[in-house]
Amino acid sequence: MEKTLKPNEPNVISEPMEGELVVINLESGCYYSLNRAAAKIWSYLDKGISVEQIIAAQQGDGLDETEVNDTIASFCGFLEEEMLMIASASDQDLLEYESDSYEKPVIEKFSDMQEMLLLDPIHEVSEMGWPNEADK
Amino acid sequence: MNQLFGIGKETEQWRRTTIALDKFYVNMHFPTDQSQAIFLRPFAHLITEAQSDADLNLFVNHGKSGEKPLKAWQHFENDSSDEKKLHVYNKDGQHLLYNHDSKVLTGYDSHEHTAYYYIPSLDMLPFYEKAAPMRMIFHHFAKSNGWSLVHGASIGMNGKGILLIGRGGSGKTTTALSAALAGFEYLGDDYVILNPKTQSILSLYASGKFRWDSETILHGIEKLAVNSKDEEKGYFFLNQKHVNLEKKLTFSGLVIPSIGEGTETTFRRIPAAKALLVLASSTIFQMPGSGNKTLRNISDAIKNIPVYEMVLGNDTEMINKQLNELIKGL
Repeated sequence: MEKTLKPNEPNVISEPMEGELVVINLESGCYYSLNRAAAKIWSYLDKGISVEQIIAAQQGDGLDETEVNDTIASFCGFLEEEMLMIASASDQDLLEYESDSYEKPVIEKFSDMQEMLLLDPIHEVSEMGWPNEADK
Repeated sequence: MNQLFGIGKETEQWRRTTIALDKFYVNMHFPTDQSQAIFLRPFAHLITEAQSDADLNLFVNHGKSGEKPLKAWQHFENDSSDEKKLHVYNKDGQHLLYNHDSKVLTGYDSHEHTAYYYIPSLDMLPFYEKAAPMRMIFHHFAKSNGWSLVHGASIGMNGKGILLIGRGGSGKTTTALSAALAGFEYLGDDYVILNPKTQSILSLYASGKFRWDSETILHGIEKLAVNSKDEEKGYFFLNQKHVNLEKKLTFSGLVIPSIGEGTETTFRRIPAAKALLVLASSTIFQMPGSGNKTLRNISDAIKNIPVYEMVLGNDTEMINKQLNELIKGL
């Protein structure tokens, strides 16, 4: 069975900017910068396209298939390790993949804001009203 | 939420002041002359003629020293700890936040367009709550208008404003205060509001905070301080006598400063994605309840703005000269 991933919402939020992507993990306090290639893979995963399909669709002269396979698999593994994406059940066909050449996905991690994250987990309140918390 | 914050029907007798943020009005209600005086100082430049119909009604409540605090406050205080300073509770558009560090309980009801602020005694207020109070309330208010309350300083020239962003210690506050004291237009040193619809930056607090050791760069800054060195940072309030305090500037540029080693100050244009990364991370982790909407608002506000990286030299005159040239060219 092919592996599909989806963004770990609502703990993870993301926003594109000039082709790159900024991803913030609200729970861990870490944030990430994804280059164009990484942002593109993120968007395909978000559409429900499997990791295997993304790897298979890579094109380029003299491409080292093993290296492409390892790089993309390792990138997707990192997204899971960092809880930026989680496993999903979706399994769509790769219908509209732009046939541009392979570029190495790069993700940069920043953890310098973790000290700012002094939040207790946000509580939802039960019907009994403030300050009673809803059952988890 | 009225009951939770100890607000009864007698609020008609309370002191009311209206402040204006662009074309939006906030009616602030205070139970005593003392609280009115304390909390209005940073908003003094925004005070406008009284409005009976406001976009937000904000009720401040407090007890007296030695008096028993409100029951709800006691609950949150007992439930909090030094380790986790902020406690956030959400219920259908209503938000409660208890800050264990400042001892302030705030509430925001987006349906009723009402906000609440409570501290058992005014004596308990830390310096940062006197310099820049009610951040969580103005974060929610900004969000409800499609604006963003962001962590950054802002100065300008001839109506063109730049936003200085970065973590504490990056030089943004020192740069902004030095420029303001040299005659630049000034909107704020730590928190300002971005309005993506009108591509403008709005001032919220007419105050400035500084590290006590920055006297070496900002000569005479200590004289402006309204507090003593017992507190972590010095703070002061600004008015037209000190600086060109403005309420709004056109958002024309974004600058990410960092402290360099020599005397020379340099600028270079960088991609906007870097600005989103810096601004979103330093803003969102400080504003409980931020999420995709806040990130999208920040992105909308900065997407067409030129971004520069600025390496600061140790010559403040040179920094101001370079800033002047940069703003002129925007």
